[in-house]
Amino acid sequence: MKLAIFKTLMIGVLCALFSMPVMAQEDALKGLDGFIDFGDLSATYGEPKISINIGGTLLQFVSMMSEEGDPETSEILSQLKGVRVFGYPIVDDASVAKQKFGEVKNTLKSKGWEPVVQVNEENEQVLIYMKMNGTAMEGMTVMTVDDEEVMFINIIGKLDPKQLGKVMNGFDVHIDDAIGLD
Amino acid sequence: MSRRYRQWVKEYQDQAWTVARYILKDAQEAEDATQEAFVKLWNNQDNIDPARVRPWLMKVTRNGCLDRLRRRRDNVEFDESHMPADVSGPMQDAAASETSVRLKRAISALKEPYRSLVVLRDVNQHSYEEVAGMLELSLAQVKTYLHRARKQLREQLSEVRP
Amino acid sequence: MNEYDEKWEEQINALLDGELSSADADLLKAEASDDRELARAIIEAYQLQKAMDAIRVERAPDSLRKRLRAIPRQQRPAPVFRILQPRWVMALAAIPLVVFSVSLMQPEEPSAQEIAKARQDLAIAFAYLDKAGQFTGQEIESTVGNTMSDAIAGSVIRNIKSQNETSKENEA
Repeated sequence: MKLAIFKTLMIGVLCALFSMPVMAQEDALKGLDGFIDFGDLSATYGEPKISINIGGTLLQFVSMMSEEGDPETSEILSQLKGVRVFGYPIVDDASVAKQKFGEVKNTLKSKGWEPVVQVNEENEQVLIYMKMNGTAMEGMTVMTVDDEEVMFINIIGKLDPKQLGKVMNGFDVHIDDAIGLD
Repeated sequence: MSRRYRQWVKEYQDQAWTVARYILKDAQEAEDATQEAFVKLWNNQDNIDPARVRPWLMKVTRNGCLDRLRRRRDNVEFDESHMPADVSGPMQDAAASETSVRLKRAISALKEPYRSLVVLRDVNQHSYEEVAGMLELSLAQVKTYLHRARKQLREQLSEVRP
Repeated sequence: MNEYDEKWEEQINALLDGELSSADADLLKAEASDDRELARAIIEAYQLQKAMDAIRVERAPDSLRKRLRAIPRQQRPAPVFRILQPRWVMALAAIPLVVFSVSLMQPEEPSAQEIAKARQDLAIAFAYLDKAGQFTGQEIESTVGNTMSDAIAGSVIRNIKSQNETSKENEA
């Protein structure tokens, strides 16, 4: 019940202020090992449909606010230093989108990121890279492209993908409706 | 769940489309009917034996197409057997031989269930057992009707009769 | 003109389907040598089979392919929390404002609104990660998961176990 009220509170606050401003914390994250510079994505793709930059203080506060209602989510968030997401619609053909992938891949390789997963299907591609420091994870980068959108995601810190489902349950928001409310 | 569905789309979209195209002839309606069938597949995927997805989907596609044909009949009076085959549909293959064109037109002009039998068995290559399940016919009926359908097609394709 | 009956028709089709025994096939062919109509029927049946082999399953048009791929996205059920549902607005009105964090009084710390927005953004970020993860399916678990189990501290593993236990309790 408490968790439901907590979630209700959080989502309800958004009713009054819904917008999609970029969180101006990029500079604070640049010095971290798990950070990856995607370059000027807007020059390639145009106006983003989603742009998220959360780091440091904000992440800690969200983690703290989650602690009472959802300690597992709080624990997962406490190990993150930054979360960056940039999403763009595909207006023309996806080949331009994939070309940018190649540039970012080169950047990742030059910075010591390791390719972990690459899946290519007819109309969809997913690339996942990780930055390790010995046995410690410093960051993860996920790039996806399909017929309709291209996404660049940079997680700075530690995140076990197996725990994603649990985090998703903790937040309980679906992509389409969240994006559609912009 | 999504990945499994994507795999089914990849494997069966062409076959479902082919069935719909031959039965409905109209490309737009065939697209709508095929999409409806896949929506049903998405909504029922946990209830279907994965080994039976293909026949299930073809049956649903066919039934959806027949429903559309019946609705068409209610609105417009026409004799389906005399309906001219849409030349721009399945025939839209520049390299198709004249025989292929005539054969496709002849298949499209068959009455049900002969048309479905030929498309499912001879074009989509389903087994007799699968076709029997899809059309809710016995194996013997499938073979008998298929013989008759093929005989009709042979008669249409033959150029000279004694 | 000779007539051939349903029995011959079955035999002809069985012959084309490869289901006729060699003995019966020889019988049929022998019969055809004396029956012009039957011979014609067999020849035409072979011609039909050849013509059938030449027509293939039609490639679904790109517009349909796109529509079929969009179905999961369109069919996904509505989320538990829809921001515009009146009941959630009413629920919000019932919650005393004192529940909001006192961080408003400490200018160095983010506001409650900023925290709420960050939570929403995190949800979106994780949703996209989950979507990518679903697509890669087993590959991400078998590849990244194994790597991560070496890299991440034991506390995370303990969290996973406790989460599973919590899930089982909730299911009970």
